Amino acid sequence: MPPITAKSGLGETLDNQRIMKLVEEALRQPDDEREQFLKQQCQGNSGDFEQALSYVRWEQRMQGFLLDPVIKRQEGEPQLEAGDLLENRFRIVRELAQGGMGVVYEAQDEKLGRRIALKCAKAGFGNELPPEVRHATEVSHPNVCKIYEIHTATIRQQIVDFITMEFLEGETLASRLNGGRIPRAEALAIARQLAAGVAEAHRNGVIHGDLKSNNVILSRTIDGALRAVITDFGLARRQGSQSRGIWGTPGYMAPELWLGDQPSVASDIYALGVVFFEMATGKVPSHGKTSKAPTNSLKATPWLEAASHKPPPVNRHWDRILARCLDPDPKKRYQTADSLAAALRPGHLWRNGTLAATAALAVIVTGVLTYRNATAPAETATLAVLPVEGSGPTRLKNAESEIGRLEGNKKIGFELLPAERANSATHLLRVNLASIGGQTNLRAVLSEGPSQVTLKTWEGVYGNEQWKYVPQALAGVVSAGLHLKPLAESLFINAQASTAYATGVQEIRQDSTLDAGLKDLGKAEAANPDSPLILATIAEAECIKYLTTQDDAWLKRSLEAERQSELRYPDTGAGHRAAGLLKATAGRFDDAEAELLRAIELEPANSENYRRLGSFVYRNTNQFDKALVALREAVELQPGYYKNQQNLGEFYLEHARYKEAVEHLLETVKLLPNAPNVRYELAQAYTDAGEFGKARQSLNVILERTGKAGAQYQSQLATILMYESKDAEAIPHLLSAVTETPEDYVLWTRLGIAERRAGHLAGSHEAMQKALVIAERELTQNPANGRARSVLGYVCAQLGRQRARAESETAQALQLDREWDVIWMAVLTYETLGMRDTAIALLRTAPAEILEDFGRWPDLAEFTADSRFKEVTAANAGNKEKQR
Amino acid sequence: MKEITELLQEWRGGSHDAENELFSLVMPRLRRLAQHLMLGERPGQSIQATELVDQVYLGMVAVKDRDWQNRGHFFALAARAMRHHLIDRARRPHADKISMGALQNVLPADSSKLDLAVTVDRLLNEMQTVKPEWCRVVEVKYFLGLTDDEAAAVLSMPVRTLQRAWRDARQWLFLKMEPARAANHS
Repeated sequence: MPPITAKSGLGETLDNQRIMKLVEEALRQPDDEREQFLKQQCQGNSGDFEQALSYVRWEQRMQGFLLDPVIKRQEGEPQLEAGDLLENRFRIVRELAQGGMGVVYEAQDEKLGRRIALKCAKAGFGNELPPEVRHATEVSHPNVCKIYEIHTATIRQQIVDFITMEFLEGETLASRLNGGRIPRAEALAIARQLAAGVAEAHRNGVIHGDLKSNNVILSRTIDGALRAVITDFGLARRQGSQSRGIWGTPGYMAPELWLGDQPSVASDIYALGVVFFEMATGKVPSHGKTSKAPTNSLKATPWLEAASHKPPPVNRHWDRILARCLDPDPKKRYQTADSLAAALRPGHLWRNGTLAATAALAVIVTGVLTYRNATAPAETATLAVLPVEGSGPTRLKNAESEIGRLEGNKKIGFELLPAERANSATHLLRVNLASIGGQTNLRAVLSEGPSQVTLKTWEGVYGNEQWKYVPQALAGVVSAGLHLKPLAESLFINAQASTAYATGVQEIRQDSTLDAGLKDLGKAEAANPDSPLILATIAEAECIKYLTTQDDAWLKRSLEAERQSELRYPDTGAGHRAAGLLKATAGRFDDAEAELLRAIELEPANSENYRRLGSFVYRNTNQFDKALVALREAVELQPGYYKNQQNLGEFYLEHARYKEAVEHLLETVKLLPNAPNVRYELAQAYTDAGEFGKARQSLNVILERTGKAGAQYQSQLATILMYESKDAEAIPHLLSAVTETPEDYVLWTRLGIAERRAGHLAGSHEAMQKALVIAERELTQNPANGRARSVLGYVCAQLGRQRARAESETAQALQLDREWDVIWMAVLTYETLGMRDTAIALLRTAPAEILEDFGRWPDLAEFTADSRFKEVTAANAGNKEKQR
Repeated sequence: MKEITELLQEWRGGSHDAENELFSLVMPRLRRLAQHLMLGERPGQSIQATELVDQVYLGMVAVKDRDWQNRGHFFALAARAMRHHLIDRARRPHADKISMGALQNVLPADSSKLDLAVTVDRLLNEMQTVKPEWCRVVEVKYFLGLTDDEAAAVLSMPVRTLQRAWRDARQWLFLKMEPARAANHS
């Protein structure tokens, strides 16, 4: 049976839209007025008139023919009619729409004399509405349909739950889209409003769960400005019925929802992405073919196959935003609707185009420019501070004078307006105070005036003695949110503290002097307890301490120091750096990025900002192009700081650019000659680059300096020997290594290979078997470990018994992780299984250096002699140049 | 034995064998499930046809294959199944003891309605040759009773387009039945 095409031509869709609407409206008119009505509506468009009239006449003739379906809709669903009166107060006027959850009516609230919308819960939802609804009533935002109240009433012997809400006039976004794409500027405005609305709801703990263009109504404000409103908040969740069921509108459902996950912030953001896609293209994105994924499914597995099928390129303006909204991995999407809204700001969107390295550099270095231009489409930001809400309004008199002292700069001007002129301000600051147990909880929200997009939310808990900091702190919120110059006081350190501080700052940059640095900073703080800068630096130092010791106590201290710093002034470079580190540690990468970008604005010559951005944020979110740019920038700014060189060297090592890795690790060793771990990395880089002599040298130096030949030493030496086909010599080193670290499945695997090549088949088998058991154990704890899975696949293949399993584990590993270690293992596995073509296919994008590395590994001698491999090598020889 | 989703694809491609096989797979499930749901699990609660089909869908299609296309196909299949079942029942009026079990509670007891359904079914076979795209609309709207929104979602078309197709289809069927109707009313 041929499919019904959803792709009617645009013209046809437009026709259907117009004509069906006319017919629908005409049929609501009394019989004898219908023709006249149509004449008026069609105003000279005779084509429309004739068609619509024809349908109307037919309807009159058919008299409901076939409108009564074979399978009845079950009773229990209240059919309200015009004229019905509910709760002696709400009079139904007419039915507006049928949704998945119930019917929406226009009604008149006779008590308050206003027009409202009324939605009836459907049967099957029982008598209770989902608890989310109660939260939804608390959301108050121009872009969220205001829910007034939840009611219960009896009508015609049935108990009915219903909701009263704001009456909105206007068409749905879906029906607007039936007419085709929306012009870019308008689409952007709608997108920003939607993101703002969703953000506010999320802040109130409400997830939408069924966002779609049908749930957005395009209405107007009193002055005629566009107002996009989201309806059905918190109502889309099913209650009572088996929640294991998959629920939602298919085209808008994030992949994890198909796998049974509950709707979440991330799935709402996905749905927003789909809506944006629709606006930009007029189509709902398809998901391509689902793969035949192995059935012991890890949560993300089936959809990672689809990951290669990203949304089709739309245009350079939207692609980046869409890619992040629609990423199959919820952790890679925008983590909050606020960050999505921020990304949609005009300057930001249009300037950050592609991911090419040069453009990425522009993003980072000129992040300054984009941020400033984004928040000030006019040249001056004008801010009004709204009257304080909550307790103690008179206590903030000084805040306005402090904020008024903030200065604009070359890119953006700044002016503080009195509260009465809030309506004409480009930005607003809302402050809310709440007394909690002797302390005051202060919440400040900085937003764009008209659209109410939130730029910055900030909270601080103040004791009485700290209350004096508040005025400046609020100025800090504004300077951070609007990217202005911070108040000079924030950088002030008194004479008593300055020496200790300056020393401390230098000391904390080296791991070896970290503790001394903490002591000196402590002294500085005691001498100058009001300084936000000292506390921020302490927070930074304590966070570094946490990272090196993994001791939670340090994390707690760091968070507290950060908090104290912010109470005084939340806009210092050190503070943002510390906050960035802390947030990255907590996995909040978007926020961390924002913090570090602001740190860059404030201290553009401080290499730490770039290094952290590259290592902690971009590397962890797989934005490798950007990571590289940031790490390079750090090295350029301060090539003499060993951490800059080390991080860049490690990055190159991970990305199979061995020669460059060697270059920077060598620098690191020069700067830090007494750190054995760097020499190991250098040895590894040399080995992978084929410079066995130099690799050996590095290892020898380690031996000389430390006197110890630990597992790392032994295993690296063994690797070199294996490259040189001296497997018999490698074996005792590997044995020594596994004695020290018996849980290392990679070591056991290597041992297995060496034994095999040396002709000890029984020993080889035993080692591989051990590797299998350990890898399996690792995977029960951590099923998403791609490396472990790839090793498991290899070992299965080598043991000769479990071919199918080898293939399946390897396939899964590749879906989890595309790092070169994993690919390396996969190639070895496929070669063992005789699937050379598959192995070759994996190398399509391999950098030239790793192909050379393959060439040196004895086990792959036949593989690399194959002409197909040679073809790939020739094709990829250019890769080296492209990546520069 | 082929996977349901493969069969759905083949059926979409026009394979009658696939269709038969799907029916034999799906029908017993629909029956059993309806019984289960109606007779005990949720007293006082009623069930919509869409929920019913959804439940069967979830039970029959593996997690990894559940995408919007497959669901749409499945719904279309269910509508077809309903249609065929009715016809069967109409042709063997005394066989209702061994038919859909509790599902018959949702089906018309009224024989004139049943007759109409049988006629529509016959006409659909004719419609298939001239306007195949309308057939599925009729199946999900008339046989399965989906709302406009639900039908549009299942068939992956804009709502207004669906509405127009539904009106057109009804007109076509109405015209075909006119002589008969005229006869009945005279």
